[in-house]
Amino acid sequence: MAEKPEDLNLPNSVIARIIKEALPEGVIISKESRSAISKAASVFVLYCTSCANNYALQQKRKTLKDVDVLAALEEMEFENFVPQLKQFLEAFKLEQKGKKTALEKRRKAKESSVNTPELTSDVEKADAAGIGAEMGDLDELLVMDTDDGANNKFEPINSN
Amino acid sequence: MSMEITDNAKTSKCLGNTGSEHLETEKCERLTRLPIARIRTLVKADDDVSIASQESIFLITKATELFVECLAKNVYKVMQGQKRKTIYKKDLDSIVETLDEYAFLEGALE
Repeated sequence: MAEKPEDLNLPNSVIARIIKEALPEGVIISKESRSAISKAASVFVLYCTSCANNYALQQKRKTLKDVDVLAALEEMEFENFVPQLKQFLEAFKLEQKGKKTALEKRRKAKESSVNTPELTSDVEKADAAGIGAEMGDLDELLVMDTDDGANNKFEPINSN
Repeated sequence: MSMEITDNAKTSKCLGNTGSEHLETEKCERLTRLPIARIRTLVKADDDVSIASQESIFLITKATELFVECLAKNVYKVMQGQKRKTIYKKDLDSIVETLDEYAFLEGALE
């Protein structure tokens, strides 16, 4: 697949901010070195992905999982990242769970409100479209497409 | 999509807050600064990767943020003893040569 060069770069503003906050006040970073750090970050993603994927394949899995990334980081000598990342991961999982619950609640609320006589079918359609858009958003976060369609399902909202 | 990055400094404070009623309005929780979608594009660029879980993409995103932070600090250490205030590319090159964990960057930053 063809990627445009800019797709492989990370947003300069975010990189610049992370660098700035990591350094003491008054330290200046040249544009060239900032750009080099940004490039380094992209390379890091690719390298980490590759290591993690190797780990997954060793475990005879096709799906890249969180444990693979953590194992990759140890191998890459960034094991000091692991404790913090585990905490972040817990927060992320809680957030995902919360989103599912919220969406489910909203869907149930709309289903029950549809039963009230004063609502028109237009409202129902608009609401359904709203939920559809949100579910579409969630879908973006879920597993990537595969060519053969294997495992290409996102978890149903109502399964926990 | 609530994972969009902003310049909001609340990112680091999100760890303890799990109020589910806020999550419905999406924008309160920002666990990442780098955009997850962009990281996913990079991960997908590897043809050997077939599927990646959400959690793995998230972890790579966060790890990259930590990587940038760490790299900046390490580069700073190099120039610190030299009585100047500006970090140059050569400081970065110096780290790539001397620190093992950055050896993978050799030749990649030109």
